[in-house]
Amino acid sequence: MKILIIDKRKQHAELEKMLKEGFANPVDLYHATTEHRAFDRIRRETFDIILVAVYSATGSVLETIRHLLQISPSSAILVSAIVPTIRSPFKPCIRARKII
Amino acid sequence: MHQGAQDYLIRHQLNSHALARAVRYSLERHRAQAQVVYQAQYDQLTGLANRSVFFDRLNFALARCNRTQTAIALLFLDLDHFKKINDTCGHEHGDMMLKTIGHRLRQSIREIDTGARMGGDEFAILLEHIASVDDVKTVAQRILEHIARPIAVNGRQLAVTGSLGITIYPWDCANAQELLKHSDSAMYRAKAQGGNRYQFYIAGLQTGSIDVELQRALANDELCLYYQPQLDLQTNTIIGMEALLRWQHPLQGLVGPMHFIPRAEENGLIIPIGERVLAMAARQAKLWRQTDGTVPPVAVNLSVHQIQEPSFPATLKRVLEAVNLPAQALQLELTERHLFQETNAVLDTLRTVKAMGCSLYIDDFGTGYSSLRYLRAFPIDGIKLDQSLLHRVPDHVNDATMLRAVIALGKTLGLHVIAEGVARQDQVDFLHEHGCDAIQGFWLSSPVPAGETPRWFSGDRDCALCG
Repeated sequence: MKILIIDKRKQHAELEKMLKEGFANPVDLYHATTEHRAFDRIRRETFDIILVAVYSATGSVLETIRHLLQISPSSAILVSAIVPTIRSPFKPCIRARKII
Repeated sequence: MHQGAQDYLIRHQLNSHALARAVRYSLERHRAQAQVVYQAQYDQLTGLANRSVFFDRLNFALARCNRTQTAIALLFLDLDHFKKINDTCGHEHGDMMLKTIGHRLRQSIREIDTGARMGGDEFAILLEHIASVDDVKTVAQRILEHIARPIAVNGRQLAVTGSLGITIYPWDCANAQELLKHSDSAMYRAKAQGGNRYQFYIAGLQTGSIDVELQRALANDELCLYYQPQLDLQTNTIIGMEALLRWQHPLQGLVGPMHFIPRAEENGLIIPIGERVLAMAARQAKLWRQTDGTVPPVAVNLSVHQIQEPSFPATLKRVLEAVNLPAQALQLELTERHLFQETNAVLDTLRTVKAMGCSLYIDDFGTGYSSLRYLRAFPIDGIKLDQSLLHRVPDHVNDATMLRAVIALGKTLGLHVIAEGVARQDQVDFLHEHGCDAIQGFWLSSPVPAGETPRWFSGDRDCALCG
């Protein structure tokens, strides 16, 4: 299984560690620290899962997901929300806020 | 998730177990979604696009065509006698054949093209960015050949052929539904001719597209002349050649004038077409004169719109001078129904043309008002009797009497009388017996291209016929 983590704040190590622990079989892990690098990579390779780390609830997240779907329709997209302050109706973030 | 993400995670609640579970769940959900989408868009048996996707792509391709000024071809394929295979071998065998044919269809087209199963044994193929009609023909032939190869089904060798109907946008100016309908009708023509072949949709007869097509025909020199001889019944020699317009359509083959001249008269293209015909006939007459010496005049049909143009005599003069041809080498024919719209200006034009040296004939005499006034008022040399006067001659007494009277009338007025549409020996005998000067029709020869006519000028009818 190939997984690409998009994490602008370079905190992908934690997610990678959990993924390695969570799967018995080896997982191919890749990460990109900017959206553009991620898009470039996605155009060249196919990933089973694209894990998007979200730190703010701005519209750009939605745009990122839309674009990912366009350039990599065969990948599943998983959003990881780490959002302390919420202003938008982005559901995972609202949920996160409530939990926080 | 509204935007398409499969799931979300909340970091504070994350651990390796939850993350792995979320990843697996996301994958399964994505696969399920993809499966649903696939089932909604593709045919389960063949893996080809379904009708819905096909129309979506077709509409998109049409929009792109309009923007980029390119062409697309729509091919409709139906398997010949496929029902027999289902009936005799069972539906399981039939489905296996359809699966193989779907696979072969995909192999016969480019990746950018779309192959779809429209239902049963019907398929549609969308070819985009086509460069020429020949390319489409090549693909169509390849598809037919691939389909016709035997298919091994459970140890049995089965074979089936296909019939293809093709239409090309923008030559066929229609929307997606109409294009499919047109290709479907072309497919039925292919089937009617025995199947295992392709046929193009005949779109040229639609008002919307024929205007554009005729302009293209003029620009691309697709119009051509066929020639039909006229035989003098007394001397048994060829005394004239009627030039008959044909359209060598790139898709439909040879198209007769009745399919496009009426529209050309409506849209005004009859003027440039008429001039082109005059020029071609004059050029051919000159060529015959150079190779065969003195040859009979070439008869050219005129439209009333041409002679209504005050500039017609000047046009005629220019055409004749361009090839250095005497006016006597052309015989101009006007249909009787056109003369009904005669005006003083038309009369003046005809007199001018006559004075130049061209002979004038009334064509299709007997189909319109057959007014005796025409015979008196117009400066004509002869009449051409319409073939409808001959159909039941000599068996039908009244028809024979009438034809005899018309011939006598023409002769009494000193006109040259030519009978058109002569198809049988008994008609020839009747016309000869009653003083008709000349005949034209299939009994003598069907219209042929200029290249097949030289032996007619030998003066021997038998030789002419064998030519």
